[in-house]
Amino acid sequence: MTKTIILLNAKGGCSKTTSTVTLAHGLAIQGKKCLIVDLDAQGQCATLLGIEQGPGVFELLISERKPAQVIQPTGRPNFDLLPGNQKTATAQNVLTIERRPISELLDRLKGLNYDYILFDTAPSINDLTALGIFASDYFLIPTAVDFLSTEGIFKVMQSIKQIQEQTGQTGKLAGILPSFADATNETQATLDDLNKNFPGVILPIIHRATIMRECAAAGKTIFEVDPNSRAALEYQVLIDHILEVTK
Amino acid sequence: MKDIPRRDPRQTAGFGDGINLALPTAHKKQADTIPVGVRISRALFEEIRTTAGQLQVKPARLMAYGLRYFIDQVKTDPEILKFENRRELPRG
Repeated sequence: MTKTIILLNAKGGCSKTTSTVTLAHGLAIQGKKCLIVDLDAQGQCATLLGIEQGPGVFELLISERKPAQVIQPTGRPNFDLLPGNQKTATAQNVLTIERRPISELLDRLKGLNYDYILFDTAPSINDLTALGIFASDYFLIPTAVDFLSTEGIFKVMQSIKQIQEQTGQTGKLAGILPSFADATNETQATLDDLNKNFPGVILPIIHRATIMRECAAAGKTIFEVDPNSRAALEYQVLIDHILEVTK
Repeated sequence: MKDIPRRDPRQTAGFGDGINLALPTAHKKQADTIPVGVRISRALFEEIRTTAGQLQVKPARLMAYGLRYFIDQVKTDPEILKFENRRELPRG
């Protein structure tokens, strides 16, 4: 059965897209068939994977095209992408204007033969993010270890809670993923804030790593550039956790 | 190091202490049972297999039941284990 996971935070620059791409590729390497649905108009999942951005999400939601016609292979085994681009924001507007049912996205993705579908989201809780929340079995909240990202978590959790109360959605929190950690007092103070406010759901940290920026520049994932690096090993811990909690 | 006063992100986000934002969490699933391996004599195993067949249960089920029963008995009456040292414990 397909498991759906949304990565979201109301704050930008907290490794949502990097974590989505790395997690999906890691799961794919483990033999799980994965699809990323890029709900962010920035469309940077495609950029990170070294492929062209496209109107995939727009085409799927607005036109009558079938998922198989708009999903792009990433060139990696078990790993496909439904790309986003500037048109993705238009799809959001059309859905709002036409008052299309919130289950639209879920219905369109049903029946696809994937083990995991991961939603990457814009750094705001817009209608498309709400669609993704509605369609997800699990929520993963990446956060940079700084004050503003931590504040963003509260807003995300409130949004999820409201959607669950209004729709009966039953997704579960897979964890909060602290990233960009470094050896500073501010990182430690933020981790203390996180553990105090969200006990039991803070996942092992991902350290700030130059190699991750080099991966973005090269259009490759950390598992292609240096699978033995600390960053790869830290993401492997996340992948093992996701495999465990989604069994 | 400067001692700069730190704000509470929950408060700056506009959520007081009384507001519950906890979501249902996906916990790591812990198995209710664990596999246990012990070495027993072939003769005892054959006896277990025969008896299990007669009772129409799997040998593992019979062994688990037997162990549960035995532990309860020992707790009730430790004297049933009459041995001086570990070497005297039956090896099956």
